[in-house]
Amino acid sequence: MGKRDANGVCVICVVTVFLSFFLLIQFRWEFPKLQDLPSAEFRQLFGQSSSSDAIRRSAQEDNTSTTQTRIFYNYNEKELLARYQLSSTLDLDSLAVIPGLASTLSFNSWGGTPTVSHAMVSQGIAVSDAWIFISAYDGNYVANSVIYMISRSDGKLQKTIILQGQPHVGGLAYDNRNDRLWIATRKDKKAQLVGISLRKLKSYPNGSTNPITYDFEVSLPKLKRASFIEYYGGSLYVGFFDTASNGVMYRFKLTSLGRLTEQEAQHPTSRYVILPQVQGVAITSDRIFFSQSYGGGASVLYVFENKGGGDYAAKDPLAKTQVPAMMEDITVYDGILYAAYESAAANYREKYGVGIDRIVTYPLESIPAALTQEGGQ
Amino acid sequence: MSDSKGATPTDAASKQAKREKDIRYPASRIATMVCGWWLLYLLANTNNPLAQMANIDPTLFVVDAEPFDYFFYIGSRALFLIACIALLWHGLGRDKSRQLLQNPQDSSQKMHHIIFFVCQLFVAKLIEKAAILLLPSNLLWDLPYVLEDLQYDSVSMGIFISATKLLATCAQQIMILTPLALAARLPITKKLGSQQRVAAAIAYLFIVGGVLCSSPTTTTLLGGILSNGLSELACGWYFWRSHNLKLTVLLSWCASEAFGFFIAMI
Repeated sequence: MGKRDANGVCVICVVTVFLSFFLLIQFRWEFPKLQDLPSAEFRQLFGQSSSSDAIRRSAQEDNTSTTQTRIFYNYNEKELLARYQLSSTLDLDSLAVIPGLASTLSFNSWGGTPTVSHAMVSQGIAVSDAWIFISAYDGNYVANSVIYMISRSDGKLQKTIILQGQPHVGGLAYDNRNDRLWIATRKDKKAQLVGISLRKLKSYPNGSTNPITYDFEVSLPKLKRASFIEYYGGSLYVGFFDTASNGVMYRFKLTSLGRLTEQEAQHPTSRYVILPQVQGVAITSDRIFFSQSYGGGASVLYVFENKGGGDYAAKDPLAKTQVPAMMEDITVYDGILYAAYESAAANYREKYGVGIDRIVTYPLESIPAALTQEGGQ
Repeated sequence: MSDSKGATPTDAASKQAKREKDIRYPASRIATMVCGWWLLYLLANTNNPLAQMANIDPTLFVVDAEPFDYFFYIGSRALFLIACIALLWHGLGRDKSRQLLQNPQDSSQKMHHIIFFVCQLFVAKLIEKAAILLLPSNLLWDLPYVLEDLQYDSVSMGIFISATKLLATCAQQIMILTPLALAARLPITKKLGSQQRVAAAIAYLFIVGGVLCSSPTTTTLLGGILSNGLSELACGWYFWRSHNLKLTVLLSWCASEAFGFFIAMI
């Protein structure tokens, strides 16, 4: 190697080291923020934007803690609810606001420091006698996923629990016999359930930025993704959301102590074929409700007779009702169907305009065919 | 990498060896090539505006994607591969790079090597899967869905994602195997004992190969090394036997896709 060549190599190496440091310090080796479709970006660039004027200015303020701020102006949101028969009778002001949509204090998965997310996407919902739990993931994929613990009596946020990593947390279920919250997560691209006792949730310090530890972690080899989950009668019902074809749902029987054994996780008690694009399930003694949604079109709430198994994709539902777009997880408690929506998340409100920023409660008597003629649940 | 021991040198092989001896690789051009690849890797795998452009929201993609979006997604991967090949040609020249990565004397590929390579890849991937499952959650945290996660949702997505993976595999193997082939020709490497050379090659393939096959969209860095390192050893072994980069890439891609499909189906 000649002297000139050696000098050239030195210069190239120095420049590379400098640029490497610049890239790693400025941008870091971390998940790149997900983008809108390039075609949509181009349309926006040429002035054909689809964002709405319905978003409150307060929703875009740069807060530094978890807030419970309304995202949309009441006028626009009421107008949206009025478009659907089932939601048209709801009193918007009586519905609790989904916390954390404007800002959520969480933990930076990549940097290991506290961080505030302005793009949380609400997903799962579970209800106990005293609490409403809502799960959410960061739409910018920087912060850890969280669970908001909301008082059922006044609808106020009590604390934000930070989960490990950034699971999609599409489903939550509350086992009221053993006071345990079940969360649909995944590990190594496979479905997984984790369980946390209510005692641990209550003792989690308010304002903490340390991820909570789980009581159980159980892999579900039968499922590619645990998209939603529901607890009913000593069993967990875990389903897989399929974009194009029918989904599947499995019933996993829990032990008397409310644990899910490895044996049961590998060989579930029952298998159900369900509709495509199901985002959540709620079960009562004689009804099964499925929430179906994808993209910006209206969501559909299906009501089936609960016969304890079978193929729900082939059966005709007792009723199906259109509700506002982007309905996610659902659950039934005390004669009320609770629904979480994701349309108020930053990524979607910019794209689709007005959405739902509340925990929507549909009384079962208002849902067609939700109650038997005897009025049972 | 050392050549196979005990093989009787044919006339063609000795001519080839002599030709290789005569070939000189300009150090500054090679440095530009290797450093360029490293910077390309960082550009594609740090959270910068360019990498963000190529990381499209999978939900929006499935719902609303237009032909332009498909073209954009695959085009960004193709551009990365073109940049890799351009750097290769800049560093070695077209002919020298062909000579280095495809041995015309060894064009008849031995079927038992191919079968053994595919088996090695399957075993490596199984071990990698098991290793990943044993990792604690804090070392392998959950990552958001990316488009690749929807590969097995429909046939069209399967074909589309497979095609993008072929481009990515091609770029990765060029970046990993070219320096290895070059290093085998360095005088300093020839001074090392055969065991030391093999050990260095294994360490390089496992660590550097593992890192270069990792992306923050699919795994953490440690998870990436554990989930790609062993497969890279198998690729390195087959490339050493065949001196054929194209075939190494093609077989590695086919085996990975078959394994991915197999795992998704069970």
